[in-house]
Amino acid sequence: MVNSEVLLEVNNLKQYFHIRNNLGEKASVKAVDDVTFNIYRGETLGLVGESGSGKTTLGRSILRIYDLTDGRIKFSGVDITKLRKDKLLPYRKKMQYIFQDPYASLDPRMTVSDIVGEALDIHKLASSKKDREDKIRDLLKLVGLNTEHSSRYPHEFSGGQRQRIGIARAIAVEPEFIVCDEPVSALDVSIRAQIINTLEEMQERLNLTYLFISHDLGVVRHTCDRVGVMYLGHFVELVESEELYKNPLHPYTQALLTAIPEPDPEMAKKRNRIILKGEIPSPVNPPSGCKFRTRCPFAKDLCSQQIPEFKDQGNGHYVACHFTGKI
Amino acid sequence: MVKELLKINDLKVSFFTPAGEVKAVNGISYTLEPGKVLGIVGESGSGKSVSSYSIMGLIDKPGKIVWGSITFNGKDVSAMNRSERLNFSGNEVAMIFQDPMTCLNPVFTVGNQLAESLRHKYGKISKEEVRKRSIELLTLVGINVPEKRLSQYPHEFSGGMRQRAMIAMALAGAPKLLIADEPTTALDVTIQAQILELLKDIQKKTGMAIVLITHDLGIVADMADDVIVMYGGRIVEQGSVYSIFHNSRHPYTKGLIRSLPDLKKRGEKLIPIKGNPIDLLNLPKGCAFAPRCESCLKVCINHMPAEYATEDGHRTACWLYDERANNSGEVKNNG
Amino acid sequence: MREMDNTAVLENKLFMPATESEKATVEIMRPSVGYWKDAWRRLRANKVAIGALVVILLVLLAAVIGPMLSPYKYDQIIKGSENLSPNVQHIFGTDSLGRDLFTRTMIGARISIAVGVVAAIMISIIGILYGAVSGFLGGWADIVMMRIVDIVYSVPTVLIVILLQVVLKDPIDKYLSSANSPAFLKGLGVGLISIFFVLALLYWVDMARIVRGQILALKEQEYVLAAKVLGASSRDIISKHLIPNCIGQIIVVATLKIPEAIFVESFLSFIGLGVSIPMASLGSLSQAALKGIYSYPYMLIFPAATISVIILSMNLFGDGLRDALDPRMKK
Repeated sequence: MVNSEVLLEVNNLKQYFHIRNNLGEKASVKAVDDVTFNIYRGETLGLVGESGSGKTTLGRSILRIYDLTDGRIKFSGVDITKLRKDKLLPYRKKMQYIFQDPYASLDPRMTVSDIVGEALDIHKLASSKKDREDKIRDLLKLVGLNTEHSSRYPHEFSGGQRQRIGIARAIAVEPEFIVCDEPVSALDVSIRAQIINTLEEMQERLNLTYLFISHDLGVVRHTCDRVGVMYLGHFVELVESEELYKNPLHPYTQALLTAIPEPDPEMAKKRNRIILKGEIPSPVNPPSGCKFRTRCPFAKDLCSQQIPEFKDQGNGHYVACHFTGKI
Repeated sequence: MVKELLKINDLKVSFFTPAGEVKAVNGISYTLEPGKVLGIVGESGSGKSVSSYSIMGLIDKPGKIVWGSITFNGKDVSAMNRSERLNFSGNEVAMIFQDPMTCLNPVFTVGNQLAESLRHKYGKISKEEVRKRSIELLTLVGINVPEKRLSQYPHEFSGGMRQRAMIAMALAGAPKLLIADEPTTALDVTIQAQILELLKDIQKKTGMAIVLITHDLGIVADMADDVIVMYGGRIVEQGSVYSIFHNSRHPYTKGLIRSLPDLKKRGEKLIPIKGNPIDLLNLPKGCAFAPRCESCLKVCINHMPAEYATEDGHRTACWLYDERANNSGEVKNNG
Repeated sequence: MREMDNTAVLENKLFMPATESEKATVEIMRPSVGYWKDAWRRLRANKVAIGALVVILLVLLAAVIGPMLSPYKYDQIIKGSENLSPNVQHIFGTDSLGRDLFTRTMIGARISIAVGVVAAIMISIIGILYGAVSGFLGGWADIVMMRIVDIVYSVPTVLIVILLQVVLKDPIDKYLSSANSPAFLKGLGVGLISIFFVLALLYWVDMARIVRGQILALKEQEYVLAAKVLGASSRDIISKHLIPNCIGQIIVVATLKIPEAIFVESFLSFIGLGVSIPMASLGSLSQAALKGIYSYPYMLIFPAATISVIILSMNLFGDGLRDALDPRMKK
């Protein structure tokens, strides 16, 4: 671990959304349900899971984009859970977001320099017009963009370049913590490595802490110090990434790991895949007990009756399974 | 030598947009033998989907096949008359897509739609026969309680189930060739694994050939016998899956495989391919990959590379494999 | 191999590594095409819209400088020249009081176009503000605000004009006769002022609905979320992100509101609720012509044709503008 200073402390976070089903009845989607974890300064914490696992919602809840249903978030020891708009502004500067879709996350009617400049304007980071221009130019250069193109519009750039613009916007406010929400999954394969390298470079230079959300376990393995695996709004496993790949303890993690397509024909054809039955259940009506039991190849009676505790198995390897070590 | 099932010769497809001619496919040739799985890899704009859409006759205005021929089972596809064409698409070749809702009609039950596909193949068959075969098909694609599922509408199916239903419809005509266009891209990894296993399983049972279009090298490694790598509307490299992965020759393929994070551990820098994806409206005169290529030669900039083949049928469109490139003292970087 | 024939002629020295600058020559970014430039390119390609634009400009030119060039004033009564058919001195003829019809028609066109443009501006201001607030707030505020829109939508126009004229007549008269009222308002009269009131009060609802719908869709966009994460205020989000992104549609709706307002004004003037004499509008001219329609049909034809030309060309231009500014809306 890079540092043992806790930057972000998340306690019993719950994020429910109230919806009406097609019969008009009220129901709540438990997108994130009672999640507790820490993020240490300087580390990259990976968050993996399928769609519907609540990983994006969790990332957004931490940034206070939604009002929490329950729970507490502390940033550098300060409780930011209930802060009102003006009190939250300094934390908006400290915590930023990089989006999955580089096409939707940039305003099509703004030039690149306006997009990056907006961040500077909101937090009054430029002392003069000239200073603003200089800062924008430096930021674009830092993320590897041609500064001559700063007066162009987003649609004139390729996906990778647009993602760089998004990175420049996020780091413009000199944040300490960035949520990277699937930053490369919308990009072409040949561009992904460029963006991952840029993100890592920024982390090194600016001493950033990342929450890295992805469904691609290969990318996560490369970028993250620790990885949390989510299923239906819960953490099922959280551990240092090397350990996760070597010694996955939760049956869901085991299945996920064998499901990644291996870019090597011999390995791919030899390998024993664990094929899970069915699909992730609806978060409106989740199974009782262990949420994973409906697809788990090892499920027993106990799993439907009791929610497994998310507990440390020693050396910081957290798992939520009744039969840890027996599978 | 087995007679080839599909033969594509110098196919060129262009889209005529107000901003100019977009050469989506720019002269590709390949053959596919019966029962084989061919993986076509490329990024967006490489022409991988367009080339396969043209087999099915799915190129609409402003797109047009401007050159080349497609031969299926010895018959020229473009010369087919209406009834041959109808029989061809669906019964000889079927296609599945990334989004199953492109195939499934939301206002008909899945059973209805399966029945339509079956009648398209077998003409007038009895209701009982249709029902029996529909249930067989749904069972084949791994849908539980098929009797109940037949009377349901597509929106009552989950994402993975819709994908299965679409595959069942494609299989209804017992095609000799299945074209799968990014069939698992929209799915989660665990569902992707299910669908890939299913495709393998069906391929084994029916012996049909599959053209699998994807951007994911992992899927290709897992599924394909032969691989075509496309870039900028052209085939840059083709060969058996083993030779493509273990002995790739084109700098683009090499770069792609090298840039994958899966093989690297935390802390090591990835080795990306430099530069930006090509602009199809503004294709270079020579090799489309030249501006991003680390081993680019002077000749690459203005001259389209010729194809160089090895004995095992591995073909590469790259000037680096010209004799003169060796003679001029250029040391090839095999890294 | 197909290309083999010509590759043999390539010189050996070409097979040397290329320099970075040689590689760079291939990769040039296309020249920048802004949104407006692109829209203008699409508009120019639309012959009907450009034709309509030319007609609009011609009518506008005639309405602005036509009366100045004419030797007659619009309210000048020429004794002995009553009911003249079109001739060299009076190309549109004269009316029953001996006033030059060409001058009066041009003045009428000027009034009509002014009504249309001013009304469109008022409609836009009210509609954009109302729609943006309703769409941005969402929830209950949105529901209440939209029900108000529905109510306004269902109010009959003519009834309101008559009511307003009755109610407003006294206060406006008082205001107009007071010393500090602007001179141009005096020229308009109670009728025209209440038409403005009607247009502003009743016709903003379409604009509000369209802006609201756009804002509702746009506020879910990720770039709006990005602005929120940066800490942007709601006002900044509306004015810097939401409104600029529906400006194309706003312009289209505003353009199409001009002919609608012209039509309403002409219609109300025609039934005698519009401009007061001796001021002319295309509607009041048509109405005056009705009395002698069998003997002097030209008196009706010229103003009526002018209304038709203005409304038709405005509508055609508006449609072209829609296709150019918002290609997705094209059916």
